[in-house]
Amino acid sequence: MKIKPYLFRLIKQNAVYIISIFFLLVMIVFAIIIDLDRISSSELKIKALTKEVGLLQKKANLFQTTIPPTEKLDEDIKLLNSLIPNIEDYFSVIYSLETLSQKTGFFIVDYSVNVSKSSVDKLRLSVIGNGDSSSFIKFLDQYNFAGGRLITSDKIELNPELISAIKIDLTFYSKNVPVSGSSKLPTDDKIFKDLEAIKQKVSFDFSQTNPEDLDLSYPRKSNLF
Amino acid sequence: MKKSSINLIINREDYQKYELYFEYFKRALIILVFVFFSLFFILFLILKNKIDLEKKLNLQKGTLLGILKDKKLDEVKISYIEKKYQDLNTYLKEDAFSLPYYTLLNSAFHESSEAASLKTFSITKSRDVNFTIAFTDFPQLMSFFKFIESETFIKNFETISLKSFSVIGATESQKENYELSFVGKFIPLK
Repeated sequence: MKIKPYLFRLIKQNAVYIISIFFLLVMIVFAIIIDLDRISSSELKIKALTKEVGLLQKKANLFQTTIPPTEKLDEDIKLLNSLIPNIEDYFSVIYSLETLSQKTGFFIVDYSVNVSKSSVDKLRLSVIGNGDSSSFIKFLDQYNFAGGRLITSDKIELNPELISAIKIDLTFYSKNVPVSGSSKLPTDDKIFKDLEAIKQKVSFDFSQTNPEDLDLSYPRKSNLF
Repeated sequence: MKKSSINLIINREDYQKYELYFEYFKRALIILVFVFFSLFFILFLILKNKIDLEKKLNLQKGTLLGILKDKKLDEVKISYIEKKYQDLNTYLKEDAFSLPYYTLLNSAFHESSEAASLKTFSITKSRDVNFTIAFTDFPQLMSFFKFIESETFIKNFETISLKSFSVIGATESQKENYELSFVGKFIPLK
């Protein structure tokens, strides 16, 4: 196809404009592509950062509002390690029964280990105690925590008329919980409130709690009685 | 022979048409320049805002990480406490929690009749209960029957049934005695 001479001349005269338009169009397209790409990647970064900051802020708020101070956490660990030691400690079992006897007036005079119903983390004892019905009821009210060890009994037989040689099966627990990295923090203070309530039921000396002690082991009693 | 000039008389209309197109080109160029700079400015503003926000968030993140850095050990402690607490709750499910149920039963009997006495009581961790009530007075026993069928008493149980009824005859040392044995399941108290 032959270009008309006057058209050719017009093109020649306006070549600067044509090239400029082409150049600008290319620039606009590139600017849009590059900037949109940068904006979208920045958007993604902002989204991720917002989420991260939100979580960190929530965590920081939890530490300011819900989570007790380090000293209290140490106390809680000490309490839990006493209730459920990492390794079974038979002396603390005896100590616990003795404490319960003294606190409730229901005197445990004999006990035997039920080996068949015991396992690595459960120690089942059949105990025989003496006391009147009110002391036995006091024992039933307090046996879960008052001895300083977690004790449960899956079956209770009560005879209010019987005042001596009451037999009851008690289970003590131990479990080694490995100290691992941080997990999701609790969203409310239910755990800490519950532990505070348990502390009221346990006579426990927290005065020797060392905040720097990261061993997280339970306290061993040097004097059993 | 080579043409040295354009015959505008012949191609005038055509020429004017193309000239007009090129005029449009010039105007389009002005608009494009304006669009280009506007676009450039708008995109620059958007990007600047995004970058500023990124910087702000990074700064916030850094500050919060700084605060939480000191709490790392506490986090480990909390994780440990949570695990132990979970174990504690699991183990507590093995408990019969006898006393609240015993108290509930005892107070229910005291509401109904002073003559009723709880002779035996046994409960398991699944709240299965067995209890025996003794009476020395027949009219009291009859009124007690009405009580145990009432909503006040029944509401405490998922199931309850009379297992046995026995009459122990009077002796020289003991009055006539009526015993009712029940078996059932308490509703959970907590």
